[in-house]
Amino acid sequence: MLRDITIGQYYNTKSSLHSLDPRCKLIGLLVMMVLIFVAHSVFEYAFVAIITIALALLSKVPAMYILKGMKPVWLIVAFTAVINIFMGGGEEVIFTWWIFTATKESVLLALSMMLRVVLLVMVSTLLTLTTSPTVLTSGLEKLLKPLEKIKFPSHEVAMMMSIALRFIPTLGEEAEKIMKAQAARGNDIESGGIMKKISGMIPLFVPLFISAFRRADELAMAMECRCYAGGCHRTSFRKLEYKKNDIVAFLLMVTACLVIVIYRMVGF
Amino acid sequence: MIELIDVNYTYEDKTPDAAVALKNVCFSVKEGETWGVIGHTGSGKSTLTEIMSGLLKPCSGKVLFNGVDVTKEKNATAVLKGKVGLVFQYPEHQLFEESVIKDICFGPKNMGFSSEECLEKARQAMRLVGLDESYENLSPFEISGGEKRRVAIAGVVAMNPDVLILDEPTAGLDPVGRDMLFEMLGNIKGKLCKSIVFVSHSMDDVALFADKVLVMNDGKVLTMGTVNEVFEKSALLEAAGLDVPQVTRLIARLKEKGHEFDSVILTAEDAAEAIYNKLKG
Repeated sequence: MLRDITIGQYYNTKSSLHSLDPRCKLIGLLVMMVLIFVAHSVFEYAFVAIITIALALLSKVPAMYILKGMKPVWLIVAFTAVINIFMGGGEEVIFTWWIFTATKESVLLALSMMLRVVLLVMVSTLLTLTTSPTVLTSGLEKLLKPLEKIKFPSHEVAMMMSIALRFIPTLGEEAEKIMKAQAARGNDIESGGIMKKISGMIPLFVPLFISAFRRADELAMAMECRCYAGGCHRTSFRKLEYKKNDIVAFLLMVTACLVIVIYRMVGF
Repeated sequence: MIELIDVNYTYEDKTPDAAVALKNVCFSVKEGETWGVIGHTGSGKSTLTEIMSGLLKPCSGKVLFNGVDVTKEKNATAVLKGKVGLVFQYPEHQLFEESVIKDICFGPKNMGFSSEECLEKARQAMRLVGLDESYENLSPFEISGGEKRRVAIAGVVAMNPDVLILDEPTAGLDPVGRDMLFEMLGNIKGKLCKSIVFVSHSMDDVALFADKVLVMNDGKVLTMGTVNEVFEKSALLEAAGLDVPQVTRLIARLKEKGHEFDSVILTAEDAAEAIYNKLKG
């Protein structure tokens, strides 16, 4: 159940996408997000969709694995689609049902919104699938470094992020253990009404919170015992360096942006 | 009572992280038996306990409870509820209610007993684990670690299971706590549960309390049988990186030196007596 969530999970296939510099991938994600949001013609949508699919293929992560991880997102996608179909304005009515009217424009809008959400989730999932949390945070720290000039605590933020990411699987495991332990005592959260389900959550959340606080406390103590102090110009064990592949990746990003810009200017 | 036939289990099946936990395990617990399960970390002991209690469904193989195949049931835990009780490792981490008695009532309540019946079962369980009435209204978070563990065990015992399974019940306990725990388990077995299965790292614990031993190695059953049978195969155990009880090792050394002992000796008392008889001639 909890193991099914692949968002934020790392899946190592040692592909060329995995070996890229995390900063490069973070910037790439940013570029992709911008492209997905500015897209508004069929050509542009097809263009970003093809890039996303190409990236997914390049990552060598099984397609089923990526799609399975997006399971919780499908509900949101379906919901936005329905809302958009019936709430969007437009002239050309396709069909009417009760007080709802679907128009050609609203259906198209719904489709494009769906595509956007799916692509966005897919590229961000790809980032975490191909980048281990520690590498990702050290990349983020490096990217945020310039902000230190305006007193932005980039190291602390990165540290907090890496600790948070580090504890997702731990707490997930813990939650699963507690779920099993309570299930062994007959706690049933699968069946019954909504109230019964909510009250079935209490025996899970109370122990989980207690253990999360205990762990946080222990971790803080352990860090303090090793004289940890954040932000005092710590050097890292693994130095990040741009390699040939990263330069190629940056060039491809620039090309992708140029394609969109030129397409807009020429306007085929 | 519980019978496992050719059980296989793989975590994260069909992903690159797939980890085989159990391979063709056949094992059965009969009424009145006390089994000790030993093996290294990662040998599949904990997975075995979860399969036996119906929390995990084996990838292949059968789990029979009193002859009924529970793997065919949609909700195996519901079927085994109140029949097989599982106490997890560090069970004190699952306490959540505001008072000890309420926490122990949680299991019976889920089984659908009325509040009076729940209270009655909870009080009986508390007596069996050696907690008196003064604990009833304390918060489970203000008592000591050892007491918390008793409360958690009582929470499972209160469901009156026929088979009680415990995953490393002695982890993190001092020698006194350990002795008290086994004394408590002895009480429970005499009064409520028909069979007990416990997982342990310590050969001495197994020699002391179990009458049958299952040795797991790398997801497979290495050997099983009565305590004497298993500890006689000390070479096999040592090859798997497991020890025999300290006393058994001492006797084995004496045997090497040419002294004859007729039986396998597992406890310090037996050893003392055997050596005494030997010296007397």
